[in-house]
Amino acid sequence: MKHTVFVACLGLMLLFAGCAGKKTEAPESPERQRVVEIEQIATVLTMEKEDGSAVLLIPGSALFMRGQLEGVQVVGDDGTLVIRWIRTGDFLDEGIVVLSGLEEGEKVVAPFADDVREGDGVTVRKED
Amino acid sequence: MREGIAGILAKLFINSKLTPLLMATALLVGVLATFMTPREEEPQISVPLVDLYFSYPGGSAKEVGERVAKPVEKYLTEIEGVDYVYSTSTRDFALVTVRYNVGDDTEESMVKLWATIMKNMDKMPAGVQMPLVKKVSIDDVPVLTLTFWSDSYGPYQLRKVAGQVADELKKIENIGDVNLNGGLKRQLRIVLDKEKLSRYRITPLQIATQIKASNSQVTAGSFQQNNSEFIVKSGQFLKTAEDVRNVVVGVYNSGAVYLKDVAEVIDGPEEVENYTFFGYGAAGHDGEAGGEHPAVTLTVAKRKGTDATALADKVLDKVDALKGSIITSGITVTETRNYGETASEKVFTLLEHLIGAVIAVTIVVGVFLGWRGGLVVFASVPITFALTLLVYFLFDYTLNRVTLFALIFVTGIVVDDSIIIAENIHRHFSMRRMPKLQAAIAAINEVGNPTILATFTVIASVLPMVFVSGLMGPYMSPMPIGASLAMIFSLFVALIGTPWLAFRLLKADGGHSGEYDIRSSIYYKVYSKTLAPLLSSWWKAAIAFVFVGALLLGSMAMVPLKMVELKMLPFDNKSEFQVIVDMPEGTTLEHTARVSKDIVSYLKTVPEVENYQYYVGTHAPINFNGLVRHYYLRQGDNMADIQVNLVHKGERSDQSHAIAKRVRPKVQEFAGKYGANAKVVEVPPGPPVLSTIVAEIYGPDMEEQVVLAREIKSIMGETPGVVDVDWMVEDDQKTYTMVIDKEKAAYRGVTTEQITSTLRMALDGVDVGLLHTETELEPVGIELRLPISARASILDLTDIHVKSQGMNSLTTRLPAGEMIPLSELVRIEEGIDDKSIYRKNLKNVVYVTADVAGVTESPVYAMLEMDERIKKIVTPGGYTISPLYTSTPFTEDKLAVKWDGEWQITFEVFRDLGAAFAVVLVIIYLLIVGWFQSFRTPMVMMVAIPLSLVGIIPGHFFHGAFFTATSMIGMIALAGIMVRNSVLIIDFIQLRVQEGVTLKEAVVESAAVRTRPILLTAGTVVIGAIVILFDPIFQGLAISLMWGAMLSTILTLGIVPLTYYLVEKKRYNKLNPDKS
Repeated sequence: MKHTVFVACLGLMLLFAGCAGKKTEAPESPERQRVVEIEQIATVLTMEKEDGSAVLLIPGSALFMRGQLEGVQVVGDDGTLVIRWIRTGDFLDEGIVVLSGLEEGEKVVAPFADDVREGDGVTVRKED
Repeated sequence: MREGIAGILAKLFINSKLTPLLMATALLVGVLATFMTPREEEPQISVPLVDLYFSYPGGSAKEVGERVAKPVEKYLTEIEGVDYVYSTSTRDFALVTVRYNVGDDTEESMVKLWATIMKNMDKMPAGVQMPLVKKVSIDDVPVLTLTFWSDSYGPYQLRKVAGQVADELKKIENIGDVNLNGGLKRQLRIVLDKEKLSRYRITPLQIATQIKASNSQVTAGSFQQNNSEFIVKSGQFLKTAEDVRNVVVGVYNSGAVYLKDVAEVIDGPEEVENYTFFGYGAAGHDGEAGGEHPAVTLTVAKRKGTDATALADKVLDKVDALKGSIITSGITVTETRNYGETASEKVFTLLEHLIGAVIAVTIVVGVFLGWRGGLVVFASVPITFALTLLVYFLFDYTLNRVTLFALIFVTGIVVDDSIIIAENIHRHFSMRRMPKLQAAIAAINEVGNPTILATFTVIASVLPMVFVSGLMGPYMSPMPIGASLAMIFSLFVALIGTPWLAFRLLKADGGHSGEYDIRSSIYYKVYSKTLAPLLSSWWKAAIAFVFVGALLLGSMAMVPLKMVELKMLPFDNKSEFQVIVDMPEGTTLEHTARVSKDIVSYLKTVPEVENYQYYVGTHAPINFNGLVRHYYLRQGDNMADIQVNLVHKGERSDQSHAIAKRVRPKVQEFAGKYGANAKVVEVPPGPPVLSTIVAEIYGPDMEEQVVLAREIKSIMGETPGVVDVDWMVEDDQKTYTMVIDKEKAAYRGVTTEQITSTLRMALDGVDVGLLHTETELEPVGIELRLPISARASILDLTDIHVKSQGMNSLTTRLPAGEMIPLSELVRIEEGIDDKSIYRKNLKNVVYVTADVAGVTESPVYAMLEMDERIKKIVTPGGYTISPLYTSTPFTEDKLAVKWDGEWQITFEVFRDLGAAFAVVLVIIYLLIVGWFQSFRTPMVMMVAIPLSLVGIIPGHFFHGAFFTATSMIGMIALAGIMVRNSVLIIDFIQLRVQEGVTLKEAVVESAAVRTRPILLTAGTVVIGAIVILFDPIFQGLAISLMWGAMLSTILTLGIVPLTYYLVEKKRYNKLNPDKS
């Protein structure tokens, strides 16, 4: 019977229609973290100026420039390195005044390391 | 037999040599039109939207509101056609936005606006400058964005390169605005040295005056000599940094003081005022999330009415050609948006859908009528579409997602006319009562006229949708117009082309032996078993009616039971979303950058993310949504936009909406750590609004409004399914007000203006002119400012001096030239900055905004839930509030809440569609009354209309889908289809009765004869709809058409003949007493 064929076709199509679309595997993302040794880590300090106001200081060697941007390499609590963009003020003898972008107590790599990428783990090289 | 227009047309064309030529021509012009019609993503929407920027230096937010915004609003609302006037008043500045009625002419609106502003400019308070008037239109949205990024170049060089590329691209024809987002401009910075200034007794103000004075050049005139004319120029512009350095700014100890003596002149990038980065996500080029790279994004908009695809291709070709010359090897250019490609993709998906539908329909018809019948129908569809596309082209429509929707929508319907005609010719051929030609013409005569009527009922059902007003109007109007045109063309094809084809293709024997008799067909047998008993027994008929009635009520009950939820439009599967980050006012640029970076560090690990860009301190390239939400005004240290691009939808299993929903909690967790507000913003499928849920709080007093807003905000935050809660009340930002001791200043010979200008120069910097270089593409400003280290301690004013004007100031007798430190004249007071004042249509308003995702996807349900809690709030006046839904409060003496956002559009659309539906019913009734010359018969036919609900609502439940505006459109179109089915049945009953068959016999016979074409047409509607079932937007339409057509067809075939019999029985018995 022609009609049964038609009805069957219709039913089948509806059945397919009820199911969801195609599935593809989401690409895998995890990567093994690279761990890099660096020379020294410095802490962002607060210094009181003569007029009583407080400023944040980092060692001059921690600052690097990328084009026109001033950055420092910050070591997070989990030992992972991130780049932070900062705005600097005066260059004093004690270090560079940071106007914004860092907080007291944060750890920066000083001198900054060329070969470390963002997301790398960081350990301080042991003195021999 | 009646001889109608249909029969006459068929007779004319069935053997004409013109017919095949006409068909071929139609096909050809259609194909040409398809390639010539411009393609784009969004429909062309004309909503004249104009921003007016008023500057009123020195005014507080309140003063700006009262002096500037209010009077401006008042006269703007007088303009005819103005729908809304919004205003935002902040310190020094007011933004007034005017929105005209949808569809108004933009140029005319601008003229009216200018005339009104000019007329009232004299009423503005002194100090208000001429407003900056900016028209905002859909064509401002970039169709293509290219991100230039590099590790070896900084934002300054990147911007230079991108600027050069932009200059080259502008030469392409039909290109619109080309802009750059991010990067640093070239600037000549004059960094003052406070110590040197005081040593040489020079003030900043003096320097500014000197630079301005020496940066001038004019054509002084001309003189003649020896029959020649010579032009005299005088003065010389400052052209290089060296020129600026050597400007004499003062005298000290009888020697000239040059600028270089007191300041450092730096020619190079401006101070960092935005951070823009590009990076790959987890699905990026090598499958892993990498680091970030400084970036500049070049945006390309298109001119109105041009093809986005062609433009994008041309731009990309040009950029490729520039690689190696302007774009050097260290710079990578990544395509971060290409609406041309998406538009093209949409068009091709539609074509695939159409071809799929046509093939499926052909197969179905082939099953019933044999392959020759299938071929007849197959040939008629492309001709219909070809003609419709031609009309689109001629009417200046573009191929966009709305016009395409119209075509998809009618796919299942346009074949119907051809099917009905072809089927009847096939039936008549099988009956073998007449020679072939007469049989064909008789067949057309029999169904031709009811088909014409039926076509007009379908057109009548969709056409009133043109009258949907508001923002949704332009989204809707191409549909009824396109669908109506397609229906008319399909009618002509069915009356001219189909008979010609059928006459040649269909075989007279049709596979049957002997004379075809309806009584031997399976349909007749089924009907004589089911319908006939119902006709003879009243209680069996009653049971049938009760059963159908119960089905109808049962399905309608699913809506209040929330088994099927209402939503305006579902989310489209886009390949992008944005994260809008707002930090508390007063946050530094670097801190905002840090928060954005933290959020991005999560986003890039999301497996579907291909790449991202983030723009801190500036805005991302806007999309249509951002245009309406004014995201292009986002500029400030506390703001950041993150643009996230996903992989192509073919390469991921989740839709963009699901991904946005998935990342939202995590994004907000990161933002919450820093007290930031982060919103995940998707591109809405329909007209954009301020936010999905908007609570507008009106009231007599700003502070009370804010208190209420805070409560509503917390209610929203606690309601499940409501996300991205925010409000438009700024956080407190600490300000320092320098209060000038006027008496002392006057005594020392210093004016207030001197002090304020000096302070402004020191802190914010002032533009003192342009460097007149001849090679630079972007203007290079000369900026005078204190160094950043000195600005940080601005409160220490001892080092900044102003010079006494002495007796010139008329307030002192002291000699001029004394250097007075500002600290002697100014005292510092701490305070809180003014908050912006928002007004909408002359009423003060506080906005609380939110989105919905998760538990409820439809704002209406969330609003109803929140209503309960809002009603419990007791206001300071001791009264309670009941939120308003449809209109703003009439008076403002009490606090009031009005829901806006998507709801407002939903309300308008369903109101207008409802009204349209009512008009549809009246028009259909009139049409049938005109045809059958009876008041009762149309009623019988229209019984079928509500029956479609029996299929539609459970269909949505079965698919777990929302009942959307497209579902509603499907429902309205079905009304036309159902009536057409009834017309075909009843017309045949009347024909048979006239031929002398008894009424009962005629009813059964007619139902049997008409079952095949009706099932066929319903089948084609269903098959045509299945093709679009997976499209997130068209799903509602597909479900409505599929389930509505299936169930209501089955019910119509039973209920309509039955009702007709019951209604007509008495009259028939009176007229034919012998036969009863």
